[in-house]
Amino acid sequence: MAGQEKLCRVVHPILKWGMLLSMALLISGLFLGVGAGIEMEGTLPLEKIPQGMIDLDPLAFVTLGLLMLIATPLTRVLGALCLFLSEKDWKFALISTVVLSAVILAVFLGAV
Amino acid sequence: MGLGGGLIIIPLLTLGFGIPMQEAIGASLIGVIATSTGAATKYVKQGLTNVRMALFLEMSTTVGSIIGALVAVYTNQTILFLFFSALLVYAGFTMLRRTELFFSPDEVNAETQMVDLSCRYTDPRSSHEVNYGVKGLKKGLAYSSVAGMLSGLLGVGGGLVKVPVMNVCMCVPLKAATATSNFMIGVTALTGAIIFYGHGLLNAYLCAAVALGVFAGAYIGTMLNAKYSSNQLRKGFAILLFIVAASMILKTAGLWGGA
Repeated sequence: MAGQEKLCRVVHPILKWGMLLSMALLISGLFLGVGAGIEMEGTLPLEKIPQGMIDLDPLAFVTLGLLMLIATPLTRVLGALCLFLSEKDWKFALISTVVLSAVILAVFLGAV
Repeated sequence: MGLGGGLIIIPLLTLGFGIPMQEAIGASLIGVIATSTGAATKYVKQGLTNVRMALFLEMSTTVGSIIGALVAVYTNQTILFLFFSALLVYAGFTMLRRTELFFSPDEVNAETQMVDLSCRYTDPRSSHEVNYGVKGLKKGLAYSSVAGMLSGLLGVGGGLVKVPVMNVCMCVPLKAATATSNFMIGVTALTGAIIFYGHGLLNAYLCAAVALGVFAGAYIGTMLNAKYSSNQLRKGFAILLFIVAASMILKTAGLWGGA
């Protein structure tokens, strides 16, 4: 059974780097936005983000930063799942999978 | 504190900046994820977070959050506003009334048939090692789905429901319950946030500003939590909540007057 310390060692770097990366994207997006004059609007849809990044569109940076932020807790569930699988802790692997499936369900429901 | 990010952000955005309720809820969900990630980095490092228990309860918070978010997307904003004011009043009373239960591990018949969630941590103030068993797992799952629904519906974390439940029904010490709840709300809120994103209800710059503000705040919050006793924190926060609730109710009265 994976110990508490081991779990924390897997989860901690995921949270830390997810936070730093999304902060960097959000801050650079806001700076670009202030330069270009901010218009309060929604987010970019997923498929427009890559082109937006190339064009230095501030909204693309901010949207990607937000998605990165949203993905951080998800990644730590994934990280825990990998640890449980590698330790053959099937019960908790199943629990992590249920949590992930609920999130995937939300992605589909959000798209409708 | 594991409580309160959303409780403050929503009134600030709707009352202070006149932002529509649905957009405020979306931004608040982002704020909740930021709170969770920012503070959890510290709590996980201190070993206060019970990662197993978090994953276990997240099974029901995420499902609840999906339901709540779908309802919120299609509900009239005045109704959401009223719901929210009611939640604030409830929150204030809970904070004043709550007392921490403490069980030593031998007193608790920890439930281990289904899953074993027992854990230990070192108290950052007294540096005593605390061992605890967890019971009431089914009750915990049931209440967590309510917490999840509130989160998706009103953009709060749901710690308000989860922390007392973990403490009273599941016998988890308050510090561990707070840290674990804080850790969980990230996953709960992201489920709701995805639905808001899909419906185009996230306002990018607003969310960015909230997220950055919250990162700073959450970091300071965890330092306070380690420094002061839970009692002091709770009293201070209850006072703040009553002030906010009062202004929300005034505003709601104003909404009726205008209609």
